[in-house]
Amino acid sequence: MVAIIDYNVGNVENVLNACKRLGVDGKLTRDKNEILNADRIILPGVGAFPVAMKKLKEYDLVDVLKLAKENGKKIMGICLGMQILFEKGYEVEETEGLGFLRGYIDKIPTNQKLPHMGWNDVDGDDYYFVHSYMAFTDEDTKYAIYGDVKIPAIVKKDNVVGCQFHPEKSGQVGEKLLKKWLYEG
Amino acid sequence: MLKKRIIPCLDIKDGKVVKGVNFVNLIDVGDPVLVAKEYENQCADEVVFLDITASSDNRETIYDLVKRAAKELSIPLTIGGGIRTIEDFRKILNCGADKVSINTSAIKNPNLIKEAAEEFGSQCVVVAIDAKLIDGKYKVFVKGGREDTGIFLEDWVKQVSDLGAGEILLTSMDGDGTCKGYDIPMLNVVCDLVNIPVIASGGCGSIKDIINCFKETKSDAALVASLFHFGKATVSEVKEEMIKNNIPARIV
Repeated sequence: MVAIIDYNVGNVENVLNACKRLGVDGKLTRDKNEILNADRIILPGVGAFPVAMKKLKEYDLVDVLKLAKENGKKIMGICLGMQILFEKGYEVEETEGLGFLRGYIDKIPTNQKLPHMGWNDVDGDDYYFVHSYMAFTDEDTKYAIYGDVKIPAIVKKDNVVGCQFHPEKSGQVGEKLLKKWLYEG
Repeated sequence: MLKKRIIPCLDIKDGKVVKGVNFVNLIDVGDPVLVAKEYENQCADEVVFLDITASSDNRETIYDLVKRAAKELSIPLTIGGGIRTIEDFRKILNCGADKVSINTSAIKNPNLIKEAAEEFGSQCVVVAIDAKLIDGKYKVFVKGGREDTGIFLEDWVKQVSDLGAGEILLTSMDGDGTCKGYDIPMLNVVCDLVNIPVIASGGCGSIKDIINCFKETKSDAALVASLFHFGKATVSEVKEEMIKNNIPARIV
């Protein structure tokens, strides 16, 4: 079972829909035992960094996720769910994140249009992005190029991976990436 | 590099595609989900459902439709038509829509843009604007271009952007339905004023019109209806032509 963390931050249903299309048993949950017993954990999210952290705390999920991470459980963060994997966020106000990945989140430093919205390529494949904030990190990272900014698109460390784009909204390419992560050993 | 998007738009009434859609080699298809899925397979970058159901009794049909579409589609889905309140936003988004497009309700209550952006994030707030050239000035219209709001387009796009809209869907009422091409001068006026994505709409009659739009304006996306629905072109053909013209496009 794949636990999709249900913490009231927007469109989590579509991650569940994607799991179903890929034949994976996904479940929206905020139950501690279900999360700790799941094979994998997806942390979705749309909205603002401080709101997401507030909700995680409200549902007592911060320690649960930290325990799951220490247990070596595979965790994927998507979009805002990726951003809160980092140590800190500066959206609206300085907020502490989960700290699974080194670095912080701040506004995309560009004069170009924001949000960075639409399809952009990472290693030759196009994924759907929609965000105005990005990671500043020295972890193992794959980038998307937006004007003169290198936007961290996939950040990996041990059992944790973050995707700034929405694989569940990125057509066949996104499903392929999700499937690979869902089925890999 | 960020790609220029091609967005098929379906007019929907009582849960069905208005007039149906005739794909090349396929006869009349009425189910919006089947049509949208076909466009996704052709490499559409997003899909828009515009609900023109007049009766409010039939609101439930759109919710069922969005739920069904969200299960099938793996590209972003925007819903427009009949969304008046924050609660309407919430309902549509909870059904699985990625973005909500508002038009008349934003004119009546501009604060709805701000409230929705704060509650759900700017990324899901699309403000659709219908405009027309009147005595050398661009004016904002409602009711399908029949009613002049008296508002100048330049003022409205700035306000919309300041209130936190994530995107502007600009339809030229002078071009809509004419197949004479997108309204390049109007698009340029709007693209120069705001720093959020702009979707061009109204007037598309050929693949060439789409190419011209991307070459001559800074539009981020092109909304396309009849060209695709009448089987005159496929999304893939448009993408091929974009690539030939050095316009960044997503191909599979």
